[in-house]
Amino acid sequence: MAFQPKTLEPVRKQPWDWLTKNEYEEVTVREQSYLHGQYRFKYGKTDYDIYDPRFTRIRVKDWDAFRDPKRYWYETYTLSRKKMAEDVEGVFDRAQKLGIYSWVSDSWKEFACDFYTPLRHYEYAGAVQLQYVVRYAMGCPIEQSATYTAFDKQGRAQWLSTWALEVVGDEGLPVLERGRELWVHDRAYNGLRRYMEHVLVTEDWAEALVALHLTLGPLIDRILYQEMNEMALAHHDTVIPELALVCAEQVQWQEQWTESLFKMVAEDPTLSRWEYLKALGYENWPGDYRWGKTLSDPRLTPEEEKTNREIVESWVQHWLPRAAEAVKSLQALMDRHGIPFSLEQSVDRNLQENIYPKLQRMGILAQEPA
Amino acid sequence: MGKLSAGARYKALTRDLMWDPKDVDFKQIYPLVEAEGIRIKDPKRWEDPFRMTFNQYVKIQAEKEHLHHAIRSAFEANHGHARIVDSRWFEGVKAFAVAVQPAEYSAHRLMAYIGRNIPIEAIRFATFNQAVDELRHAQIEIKHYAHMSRYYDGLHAYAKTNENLWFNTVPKSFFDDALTSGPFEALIAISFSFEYVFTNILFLPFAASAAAVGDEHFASVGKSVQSDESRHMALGMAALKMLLEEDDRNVPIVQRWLDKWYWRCYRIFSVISTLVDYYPRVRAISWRKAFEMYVEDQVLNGLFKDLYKYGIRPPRNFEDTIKEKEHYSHATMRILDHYKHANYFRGFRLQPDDYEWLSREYPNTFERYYAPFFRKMDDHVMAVASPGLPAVCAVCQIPCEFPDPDHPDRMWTQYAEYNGKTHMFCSPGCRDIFLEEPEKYIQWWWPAESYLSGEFGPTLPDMFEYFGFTPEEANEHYSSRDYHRWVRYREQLGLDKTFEVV
Repeated sequence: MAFQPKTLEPVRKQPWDWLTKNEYEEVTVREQSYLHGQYRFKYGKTDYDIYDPRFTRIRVKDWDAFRDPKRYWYETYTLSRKKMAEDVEGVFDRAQKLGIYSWVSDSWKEFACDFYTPLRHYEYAGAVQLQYVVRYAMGCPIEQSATYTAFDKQGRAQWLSTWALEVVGDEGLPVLERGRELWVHDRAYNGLRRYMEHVLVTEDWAEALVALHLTLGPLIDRILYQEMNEMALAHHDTVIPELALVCAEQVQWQEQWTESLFKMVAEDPTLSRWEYLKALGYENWPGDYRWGKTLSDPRLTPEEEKTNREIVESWVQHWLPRAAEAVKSLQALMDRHGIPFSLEQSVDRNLQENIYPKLQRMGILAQEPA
Repeated sequence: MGKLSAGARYKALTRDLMWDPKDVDFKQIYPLVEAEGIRIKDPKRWEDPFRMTFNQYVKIQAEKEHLHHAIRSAFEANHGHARIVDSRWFEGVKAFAVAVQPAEYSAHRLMAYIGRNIPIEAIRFATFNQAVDELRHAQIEIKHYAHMSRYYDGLHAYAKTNENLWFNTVPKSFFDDALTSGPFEALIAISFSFEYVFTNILFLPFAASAAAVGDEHFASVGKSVQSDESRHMALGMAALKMLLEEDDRNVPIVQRWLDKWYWRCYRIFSVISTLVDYYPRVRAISWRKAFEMYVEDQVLNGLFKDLYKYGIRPPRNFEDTIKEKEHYSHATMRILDHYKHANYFRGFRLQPDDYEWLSREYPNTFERYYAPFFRKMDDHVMAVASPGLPAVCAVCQIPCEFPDPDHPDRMWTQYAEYNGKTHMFCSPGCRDIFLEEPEKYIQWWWPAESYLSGEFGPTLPDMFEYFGFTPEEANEHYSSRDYHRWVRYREQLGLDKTFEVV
């Protein structure tokens, strides 16, 4: 503003009393209210407040301190996904025009349908439980990332469906029906299906994030959207790897923000669930006058005895072996179709090279599990 | 390659994705599905009328975002806030900002809850799109008042204001009520009662006024948001019909929810009536006409006639909302003027053109019942400020200062005994809601009682700190520092000049 007179200065340099460094923070920080929920739940969690720190066992001194490393807010998220959607449509469109799958053997196509199509159910179930996280997680910064991730998962479920329906063959709906049949009844998918069912009934939202993005995700997504690319190219299938590149970009982000979140959690020494009120400026909050009149005092809930690190570690110890086993049991499918890919090797390599080092870097695992 | 029709393709992409669980119980995944007594037989035949896939969604929405934020940037770069016809408009926008914006955010969390808990994929897909939309609305509204906050008072600690101020308990209690309901009730509350019945009146007249007074940024907020709402309205209608058609035993339950949420929605829109009739100096339409057009004609005389075949009657107390249309904005503005010293947006002294417009639009009520009240402020703008704390309605939480539309000289206040205590309500509509669910409403949070219990600290400055603004940011607009700053800003830009043509 070269010609702007000096008197046209704004009254405030920054819009809010709390410091915001960018547009993402401007629309994200302090969005969720923390105090003075009007009523308790009529059904279900009837003793809890609307936004209650007791929805998870972990304690954080400032729930609003989490930052998405990619700083997605609605505008930047939709812009980036619009580009991805167009990329994927381009991939499918070119594949059909070039008749890519007429150069691909029937046996690979059969395998690819049996492998990728059932996994749309895996993506979708993850999206469903992330909606639980969106509702019950503390603070907008965390649930906003979960929101976009859930939307991505729905998107990937649809991309896999479109690929199976329209690109790889001319089977139409039966291919999706067959995929569903495999997911529900085939021995190879039993482990994965069972795992996702247990994710769907996980009450602690932070544990659900661990089970989705710290244990199972890094194992199965890496195979789905990265390691199988080579195999596909060897079978003259260029469509799967191009789709996988786009999906991998989404998956990298979901792991990246989950890693920042649990790094923050593991480092946080907070012992009381109520500590975050200080960060919000309510250090002297005497509590809600209704407690003792019409509501129970939530501060009387016993505090958790384990540290955050111990809690997250126990979740990892619970979910990681199950995830590894679920992924390994897909070997039956590979063998049936004569695909020379060892899931055992992939999982073990991934655990050693990626997952354990990452969990150690985050301060969650002191040492590799035996 | 057999191409599917668009409908079949949409269905294939969005259905049959969940399965009957084998290792856990269905009711563990959906613990609330039977809690409310709703019976679902064959939800698969339910259609999502909008059929929006992921790809379509992100492409359309990114385009809308691009357009909207281009308008916003131009507005911000070109001193748009100084170019509107009268800065008092922004006092109304402040009210909208801190009341409606957190409500959008609550709706975002709420739609995720509904989608997670209702085991019908078509509903889930539509509600999840809406959950993401609501986050969008919250954010484009924040961007609007982030800019305003650099030039105007009252918004800089909106999170505290939203959490603690008496005014904000009104929209907050509404959404908290839905957030603590079962998933089907929440669906009817928001998708049908709020979105279908009332959002047109929320966004269209106010956005039209925004354009008329020159606030191009807000006009774009309103239009861009409304373009998403049309999807939400379609969801609301489809959800309602689905519940009614699935099982006859759902009908009385749904009727009870319609009764409750019609009045609940109507009451939180009271302040919108002042944003239509009072704050804009150039009005697009009056509340009375907008209510006749969007609610009476379209909903009460249109939609509810169609619902008659299901055994659904118009919502309880709807006659009262019609009777009140000639009083609503005036009575609400009177309340705002009573307590303008404790609010983050200001009242204002009515100008001659305001009296003229209000008398013309409300020939039966304005001059007779309300103009004398507003004229008391001619000598001193704080003449009508009420000392002390208002007694507020235990359901909608608005001060109990609405006149009985049948006897406008009397208050409409109602009382009910429950558990040895007397509870107070603004109207029969709110009283009836309380009597249906007294255990819920006795839990309401009343800032006045919190203040008296010492939560806000010992002094008045402590209380304002708790509210997130200072006393200088309250009171009356034309005597405020905001107005004087705006006038000076315009002088600097040369906007105060008028040019004669000879």
